[in-house]
Amino acid sequence: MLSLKDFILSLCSVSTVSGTELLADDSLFPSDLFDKVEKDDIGNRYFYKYSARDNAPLLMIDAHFDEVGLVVSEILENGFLRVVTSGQPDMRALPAAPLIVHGKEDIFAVAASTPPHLRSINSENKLITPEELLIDTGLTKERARELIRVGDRISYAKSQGNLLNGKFYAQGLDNKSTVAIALYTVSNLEKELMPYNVCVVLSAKEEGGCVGARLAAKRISPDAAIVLDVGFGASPDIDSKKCIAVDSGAAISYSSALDRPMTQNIVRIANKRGLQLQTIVENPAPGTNAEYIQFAAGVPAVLLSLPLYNMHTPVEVISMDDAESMSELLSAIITDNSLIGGNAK
Amino acid sequence: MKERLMDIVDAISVSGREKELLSLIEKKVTPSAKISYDVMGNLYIKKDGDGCKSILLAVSIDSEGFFVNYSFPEEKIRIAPTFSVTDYSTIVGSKLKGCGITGTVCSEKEKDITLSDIYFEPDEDQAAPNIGDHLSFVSSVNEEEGYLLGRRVGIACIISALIDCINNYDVHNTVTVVFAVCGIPGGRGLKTVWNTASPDKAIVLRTLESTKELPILLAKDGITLSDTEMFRKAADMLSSERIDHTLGAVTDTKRDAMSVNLSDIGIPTLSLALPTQNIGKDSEKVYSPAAEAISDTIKALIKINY
Amino acid sequence: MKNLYGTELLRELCDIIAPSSAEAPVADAICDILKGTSVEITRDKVGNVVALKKGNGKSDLKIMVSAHMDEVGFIITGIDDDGRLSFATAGGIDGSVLGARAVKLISSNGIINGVISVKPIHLLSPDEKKTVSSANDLRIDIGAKSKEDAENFVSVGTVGTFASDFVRFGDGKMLRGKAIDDRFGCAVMCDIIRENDNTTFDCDVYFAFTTREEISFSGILTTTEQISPDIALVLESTAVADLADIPHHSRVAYTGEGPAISFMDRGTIYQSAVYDFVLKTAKSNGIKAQPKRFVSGGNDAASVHSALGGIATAAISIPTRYLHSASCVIAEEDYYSTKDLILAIIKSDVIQLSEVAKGGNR
Repeated sequence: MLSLKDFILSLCSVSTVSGTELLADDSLFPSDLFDKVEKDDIGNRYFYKYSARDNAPLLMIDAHFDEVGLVVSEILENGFLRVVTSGQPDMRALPAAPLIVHGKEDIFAVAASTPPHLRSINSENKLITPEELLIDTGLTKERARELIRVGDRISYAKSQGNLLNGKFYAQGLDNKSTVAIALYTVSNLEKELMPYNVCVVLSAKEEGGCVGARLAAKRISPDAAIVLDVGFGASPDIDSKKCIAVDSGAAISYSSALDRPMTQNIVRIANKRGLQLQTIVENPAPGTNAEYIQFAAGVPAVLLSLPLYNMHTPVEVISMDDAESMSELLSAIITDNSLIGGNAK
Repeated sequence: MKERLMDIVDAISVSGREKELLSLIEKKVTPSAKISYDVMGNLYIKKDGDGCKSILLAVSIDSEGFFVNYSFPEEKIRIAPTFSVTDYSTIVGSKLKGCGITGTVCSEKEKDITLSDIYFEPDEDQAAPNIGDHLSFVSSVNEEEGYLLGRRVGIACIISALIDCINNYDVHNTVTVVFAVCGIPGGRGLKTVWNTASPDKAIVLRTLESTKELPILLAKDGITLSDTEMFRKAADMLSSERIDHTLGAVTDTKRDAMSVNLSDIGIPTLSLALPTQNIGKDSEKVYSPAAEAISDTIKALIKINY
Repeated sequence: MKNLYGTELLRELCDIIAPSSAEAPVADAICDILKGTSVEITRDKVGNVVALKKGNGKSDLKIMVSAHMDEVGFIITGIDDDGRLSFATAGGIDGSVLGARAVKLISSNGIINGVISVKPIHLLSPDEKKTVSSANDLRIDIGAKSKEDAENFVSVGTVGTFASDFVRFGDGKMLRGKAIDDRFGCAVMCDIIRENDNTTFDCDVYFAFTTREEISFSGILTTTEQISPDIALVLESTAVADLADIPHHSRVAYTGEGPAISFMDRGTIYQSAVYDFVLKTAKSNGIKAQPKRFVSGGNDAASVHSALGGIATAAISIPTRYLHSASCVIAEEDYYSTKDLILAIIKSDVIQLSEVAKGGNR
C-alpha cells in the first residue's frame, strides 16, 4: 500500500466530475485489503471491512468521490465548446486555466480568457459567467465532433506541487484527500480491535445535491455514519468562525442538523486520547452529505473536516500533518466502543 | 490666403502616411533648397547661409486619420483611428479619402457608439480597400468673418508660412526646415530629428487651442521650457520690429510639439504657436490676421543672431 | 538544449523561470546553445545578449532581429504575519487570470512553489462573487507558517512567474505554455543561427536577445543604439481573439494563418516601406503571413523605430491566444512560418533591402 500522501496524489490524478465517478480505474484502490468491494448504479463504491466480533453494528464512513467541473453543452466552430457547471467550480480560477475534456479520449484544452482590450468598459473586473466561458480544444469542428459529445465532463488538468512545511497543492483534494484518509485508515485497522463493521462509501454526486450518499445510507442501513469532507482553511481575510485553522488537525462540526451524542462522544474520545481536534459550528447545516444522510436516510451522522485552502480551484492546498492527524483521529474513534450510543445533552 | 492653403489642406497627411502632403511641399519650394528625407519620413529642407549659426525650424505636419482594419467581401469595412477618439458619434458621417478610395464613416447605432459600431462605406463603384490602407478626413478651406475655416487649416497656415520663408527670404543663418511626421501619436518624428540634427538653435512651430488673435511665443510648451535667452531675444526682436505677438506659457501636452527628448539633447529651443480653435475638428478655424502674422514672425525670428 | 530545435527547444526555454530583471538563466541557456557556432556573442551590463553573424561583405547593411527573454511575472511586495505574500504583477497580467494559479518563485534556495490563494467562493458576498480581484487583493501562499518562516525563503523583492506545463494539444497542432511571449522569438533566432551556420548572408545580422520588455523599460534601446541597424525586425507575440464568440473584425489575427505584420499599434505607426516589403516577401516566398488588425498593445518596435535617426522597423508577431496568462496558445505551424519569413527577409536582394532601409511612407 502506498504512503498516505502518495495515495492522495494518485487519487487526485484521476478526474471524477460528478456522474463519472466509476470511470476511475479499480486498480487505484487497495481492494485486496478489504473484505468486500461493491459498486452501485448511482456511482457509489462500497469497501467493507468486518469486525472480528459477531453482530457488530455497521458504521458507515462516507467520503464523496466526485469533484466540481464543467459539462459540455455545445460544440462551436474552431472546436470551441460551451459549457455548464457541475457543482460550483470557482469561476475566478477559470480564465486561461488548463483543462481536460473527457471525451472519447482525454483531450487537453484551455479555458479562453477574453483579451482585456475586447472587454467592454462595463464588464471590466466582472467575473466571467459559465455562459460566457469558451473552451479552446485547438481541434477543428469536425474532429471536435468526432471526439467530444454534449454531456462530456471537463475537469482541471492535473496540477500538483509541494509547498513548505508539509503542505502541497493538487486539484481534487476536495475530496480525494479524505477519501484516501478513509481507505488508508480503515485498511490498516486490526479486526480484533474493531467494535464495528465498517463500510467506507466513496459516494457519488455530492457536488450538486448530495445524491449518492443518501441513497447509499438507505441501501446499507448503517447504525451510524461519519462523513469526511474538507473545510475552509483559515486565513485573515475570512471570518474565523467560519473556517478551520490549518496545522491543528481536523475539525468536528457542531450543527443542529447532525447527531449531538455522537459529536460529543468524538470530542470526549479525542480529549481522552490527547488527539488534535478542533470544533466549528455550522448551522443550520454544514452543506455536506452528513445532514442528508441524517435527514433522508434516518441515520445519525457527524461530520469531520480537513482544512483546505482554495476550494474548488486547481490549487487546493492541505497540510500533510493535518491529513496524518485526521487519520490518527479516525482510527481512534472507530475503534472506540463508546462512539455509538449515549443520550443527547 | 485661402488659395495658398487649399491644396495643402486637401493633401493627405494621416499620421504615418504623410507622403502626399510632403511631396506637395517639396514641389512648392525653390529648387535652390536642399531636400532630403530621413528613415521616419521627415522632410528636411535646408538653405545654407553665410553666417555661422544654424537654426532648425520644426513642425509636425500630420493629421488625424484612419487605417483600414478589416476588409473582407460581403462584410462591413472596419477602420481604426490613428488618434484618440472620445466620442465616436462626432465622426459618424465624416467623409474620408485615401489610397484611391472615397467614402463615409457610418454607424447603425445612434448613441453609445464604440469603435466596433462604426464602419466605412466606400462610395459607389469602387474596389474594396486593403487592410493597412490609410484614410484621411476630406477637408477644404473657407473664409468667414475674418476667419479661415476648415479642418487642418491651422497647420496649413504654418506650412504655408514656412514655405514662403524658404522661398523668399535669405538670412545669414543656415536654416533647415523640418516637416516632421507622426506628431499626433506623440512627437515620434520630431524625436528622431532631435537625435540626429545638431543645430545651434531650434524653433518649434505648432497650433495651439486658443482664442487669442496673435502668434504666441511660448515660455513653456508642454513639459519643455523654451531657452530663456532665445525667448528674451525673440520677444525683443518682435517688439522692435513691431510685429504684433503675445507671450504665453502652456502646459498642454495633448499635441506636444516639443517632445520630451528635447531636454535630453540640450538644443536650445523656442516654441511659437499659431492660435487655432477646434483643432482636429471639421470646424477648425484660424483668425486670418494671425495667419498672416505668423509668417512675419518666423522671418523675424530666424534673423536673430542667437 | 543544444540538440533541440524548433518547438522542442521552445518547450525547454518556456520552462525557465525568468521574469523581467531576472533573465540571466535564459541568457545563459542561449549562450550555451550558440556555443560552437560562428556568431560573436556579447553580453552587456544590463543583461542583453547580442549574437552577430557577420555577412560575406557584399553589403554593409546591418539587420537587427530581436526578441525579449523576459516573461510577465510577479514581485513580492510584502509578507503578512501569517506567512502569505502580497505581490504586484511585473508586466501586464490581467486580474482575471491570477486567481487560484500555481506559481514558482526564485527563492534563496532555488525555485519554490506557491499558489495564488482565493477566498472560498462559498463565503463571498453576492457583490464579491461577481468581481475579479486585482493583484492587490490577492496573496501568494508558499505554505509558510509565519512571517519568520517565510523570510527563510523569500523577501520583499523576490520575483517569480506562473507555474505552467508546456503541452501539445489540438490533435498535436497547438502548443500551450507560459512565456511563449517571447521565448518563441528567442527559439526562432537560435534556430536560424544554427541552421545557417555553414552559410553567410549578404548583410551583417545582429540577433538581439533583450531584457525587460514586459515592463516597458526594455533593453532594446541600448542594444539598438549600440548596433545602429539599418533594418530592425522585432519578433513578438500578439494577443489574438479568434475565439468563437468574438466578431471577426475584432479578432486581430488568426492562429494558423502565419505571423501577423503590424501597420499600427499603440507605440508605432510602421513605415509603409517596411510593412509593404514584409508582406510582399511572405507572398513571393509562399509563406503564410497576415496583417495584424485592431490596434492594441505596444512592443519593442516603439523604442526601435524612433531611435537614433529613425530605423526602418517591422513587428512580426506570432498570433497568441490568452497572452500574458499561464496558458499562452499558439499554432505550431505559425512558429515555422515565422522562422521562414525572417530568413526570407534576411536573404532578400541587398538592393531591395537598401531601399527598405530608407524607410519613409506612402
